[in-house]
Amino acid sequence: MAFIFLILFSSLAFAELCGPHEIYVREQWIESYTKTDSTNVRAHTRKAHCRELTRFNYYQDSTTQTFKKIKTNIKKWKPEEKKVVEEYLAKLPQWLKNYRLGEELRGDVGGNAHNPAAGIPLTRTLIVFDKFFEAPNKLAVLIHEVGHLTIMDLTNEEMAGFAKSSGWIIDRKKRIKIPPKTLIIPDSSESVSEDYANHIELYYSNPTLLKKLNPASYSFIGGIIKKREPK
Amino acid sequence: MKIFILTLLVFSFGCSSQLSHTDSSRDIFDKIIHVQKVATKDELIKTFGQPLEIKPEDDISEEYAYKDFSTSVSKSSGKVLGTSMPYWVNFDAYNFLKKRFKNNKWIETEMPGTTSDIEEDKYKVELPELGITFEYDNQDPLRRPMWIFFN
Repeated sequence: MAFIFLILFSSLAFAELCGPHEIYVREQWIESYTKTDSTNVRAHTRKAHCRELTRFNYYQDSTTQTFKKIKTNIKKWKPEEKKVVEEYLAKLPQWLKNYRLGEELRGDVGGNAHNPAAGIPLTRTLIVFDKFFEAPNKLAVLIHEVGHLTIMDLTNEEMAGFAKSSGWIIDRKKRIKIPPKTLIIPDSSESVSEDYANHIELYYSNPTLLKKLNPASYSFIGGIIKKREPK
Repeated sequence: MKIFILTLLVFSFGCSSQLSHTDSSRDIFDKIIHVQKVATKDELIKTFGQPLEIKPEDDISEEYAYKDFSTSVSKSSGKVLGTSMPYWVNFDAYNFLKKRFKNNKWIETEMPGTTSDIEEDKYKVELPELGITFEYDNQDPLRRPMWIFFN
């Protein structure tokens, strides 16, 4: 019996997330419509699926996307700016390089005046602000932004394990997450996701400091990275 | 081939009919909600067995850690004070939970963003009849709560 169930439900049991070069498209309700050849299509549910990013690392001078929290003016790329971003994207560790970006946009200022770049997880978009070109740590900035995308692919155990190793406390009585007492970068207290991206950044830019600040999270994040680095 | 498929269907129907009369038909949500209602350590252990680990939490409570969730239990009274379950799953969690709790009151509130360098679209969901709360980010393609709280 167990064997029959294994056959019947194996696709569910071993379902995997989309690859780093794909975008997850949610299940959606499609209203009835008529095709150009006059065929009537009934209203139906389109199942969730992974869609390959065929067009990636695509520099755009404008966008149809609207942003809720990030306030910036999108402007034209200069050829020399593209060259700088390309140069540093090429230096990303291989497992991060596998995360294809849907769009790369050029913004003036990103809310916080010191912000060098921002990410849009749903559309895999990178926005590069003016500050990026003055930043001495351009590679670290890009590692951080792409790092944000990689939290999406953690398993449940990895996500909970990372938060625990970093020192997040889950207060079940108050129903809140309490940030770690020792923060590796001050804005790590903003969210588990920010803390995770900071860990990925520091693991590459200053591993000695990360190990000193939090040996447990250094070891945990190292394990996550090793699993994903190409053999 | 037809006979084989029919046999599979008969087997799976027979099995699901049998399951519906047993405790196995209750999923982890039903079981945690039940324990939260009874709110005793004894009921927690009766429902889920012994925890993998019991860890000191603070002056008043201990964490009973199970494979998929953790429960805070009062040291003095043995009362269940709250449960949290990490839910970083590999499917559209919001879609699943919305269907799973379609018969319950579902209150959704937009939350302010917390992070400056990443686009967020966060919401808090409360199911007051069941004592469930969680947050999700619409920017996460799978709309997952990092933790679901029960209390």
